[in-house]
Amino acid sequence: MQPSKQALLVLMAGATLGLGALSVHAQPKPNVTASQPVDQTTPQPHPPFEAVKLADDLWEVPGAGSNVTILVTDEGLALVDDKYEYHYDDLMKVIREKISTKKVKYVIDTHYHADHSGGNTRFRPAGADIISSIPGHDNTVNKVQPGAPPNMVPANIAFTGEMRLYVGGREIRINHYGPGHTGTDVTVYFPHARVICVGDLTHIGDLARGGQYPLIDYNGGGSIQGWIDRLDTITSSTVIDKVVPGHGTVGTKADIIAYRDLLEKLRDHVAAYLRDGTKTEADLRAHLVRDEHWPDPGLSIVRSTHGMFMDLKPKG
Amino acid sequence: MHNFRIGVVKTLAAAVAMAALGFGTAAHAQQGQAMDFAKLQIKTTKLADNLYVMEAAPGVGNVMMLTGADGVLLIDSMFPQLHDKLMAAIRATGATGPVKYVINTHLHGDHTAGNGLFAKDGTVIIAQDSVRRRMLLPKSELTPAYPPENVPTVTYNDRMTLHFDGEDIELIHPPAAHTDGDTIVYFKKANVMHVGDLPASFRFNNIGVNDGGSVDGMIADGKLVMKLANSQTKIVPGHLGPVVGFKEITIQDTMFQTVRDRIAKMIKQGKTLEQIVAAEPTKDFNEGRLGGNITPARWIGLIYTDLTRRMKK
Ligand SMILES: [Zn+2]
Ligand SMILES: [Zn+2]
Ligand SMILES: [Zn+2]
Repeated sequence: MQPSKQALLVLMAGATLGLGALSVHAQPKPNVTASQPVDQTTPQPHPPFEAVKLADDLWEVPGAGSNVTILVTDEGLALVDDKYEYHYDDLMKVIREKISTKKVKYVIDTHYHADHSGGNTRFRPAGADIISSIPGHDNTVNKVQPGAPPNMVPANIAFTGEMRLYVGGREIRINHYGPGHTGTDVTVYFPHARVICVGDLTHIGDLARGGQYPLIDYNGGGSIQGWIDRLDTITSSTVIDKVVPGHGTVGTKADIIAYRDLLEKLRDHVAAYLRDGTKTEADLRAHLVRDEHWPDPGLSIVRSTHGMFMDLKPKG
Repeated sequence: MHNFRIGVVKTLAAAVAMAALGFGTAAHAQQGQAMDFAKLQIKTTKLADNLYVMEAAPGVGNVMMLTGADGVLLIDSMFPQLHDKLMAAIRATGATGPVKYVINTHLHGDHTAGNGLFAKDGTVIIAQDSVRRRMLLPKSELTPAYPPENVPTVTYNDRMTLHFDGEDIELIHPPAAHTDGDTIVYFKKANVMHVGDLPASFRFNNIGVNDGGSVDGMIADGKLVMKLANSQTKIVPGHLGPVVGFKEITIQDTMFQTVRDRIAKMIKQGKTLEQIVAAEPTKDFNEGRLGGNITPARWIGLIYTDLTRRMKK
């Protein structure tokens, strides 16, 4: 399979320059595209939402909060992710005006972070069934995410393993495998269109703008090794034409592979840095900030460092 | 052995296996006791503030209902001929709001034939994914036709939880037993569990030998239910309820093991199914168990079919 031009560039950058490539940015940009802005309750101004067609019956509303994917059927709509609660009115407006007037039957949360599931607070009372992994439900109930809005609504249908929805003659496959970006991540696959929504398991199109510093939410059950394994499972088991990431642009399977390689490089780099057993967590943090230009303070450095240190330091 | 005799045994075993499908009227017609739905009355038993059991007849799967501000959730759906009576029984409890979900404990018609009339009104039908897969198999000598409107539209393969009417409802898929798509439904807060057609009430349980079920699976899952539940749990059986406890399950489990061992021994001795039925291996267990839908002869046939198939492998 031929990787897209964009993916090739990413692959080349990753292969030839590695993490060191990050040091060519004399002035690293702020971590604007990390999973969530720090303030998650105050509505932030955003450009008007747009509807992008992915297939005959499949749409995307990208932009602020998270990307939202929408399956349109005679029986109703199925949404993947639902942005922040305060986006609800604008999101429904673009859906009603550009996509469909059918009722929203299902909302699937790719994971528990508020930028992906904050809209549950409005969609659930409006009658939609909200679906997530069981760890996703539990993390929301236990308020695991720092700074999340206090009124988050968990899924009313939760699962582990695989779930399938059959709506309006279409099939939707939802899989939860284990630790990755968080411990709650699910992928949502539309076999008829060969489109997969991967939430924050892959960054596409923002690899020079923050996406290269992964937020590994160890507190929420994430793990860098689990994340790599997870992406391998997805790419080896699924026929994929289009990939919808949680943020950024729609891509292809090559983008998943490129991001997987970035994670592997980070894992190897951190493991090598910690190998002699003399480095502390503070050393690792300083190294990532000073030599690898991780934005500080930034969500990724704050949330990933401790977990990576505990996970990758020499054992025994 | 003469070929002739093998042929007879095979045909009898197949007939027994077919009768065992528990597919509503077909199975009953075969026993000459087709249900007269018009005569059936639904008996409702309250188990907790918002939980009820609805029973119609030994051949109709017991329905459970959860009710509250979010609406109604049912486990299993009886038969379409009983739909109006079931709805009347639901409303008679004071339950309001739409029937949002029907969870099927397994695919058999006595538990799922009523799905379609609920689905038509917007109810979401939920089951383990093998239920859907088997319902969509082409009809054959051993697989009955399931109407497409009865097929579940939300499936899971491992574990699922629903949060509804203030309850936490756990769907647990145990290792294959009655079928390979069984679901145990546990209402955590009320401590009530619907176990479908796993061993529970005093009867000769159907074993879905053509649906991935097996006698050994039944024995194992009887024990599993007692690990998942506790001694205070109200356990609702698929038939002949409304409620049983560990005592009944333990006795049923013992019966399954004892009769399985007797039949296995006779098969090894080269006995035919007719000879095994004639030897009455269930005799000391018949008392109190003849009220169910499956006769001892049919039940022996199921175990015989299961054991001989596995011995061949
Ligand atoms: Zn995230
Ligand atoms: Zn039954
Ligand atoms: Zn059954």
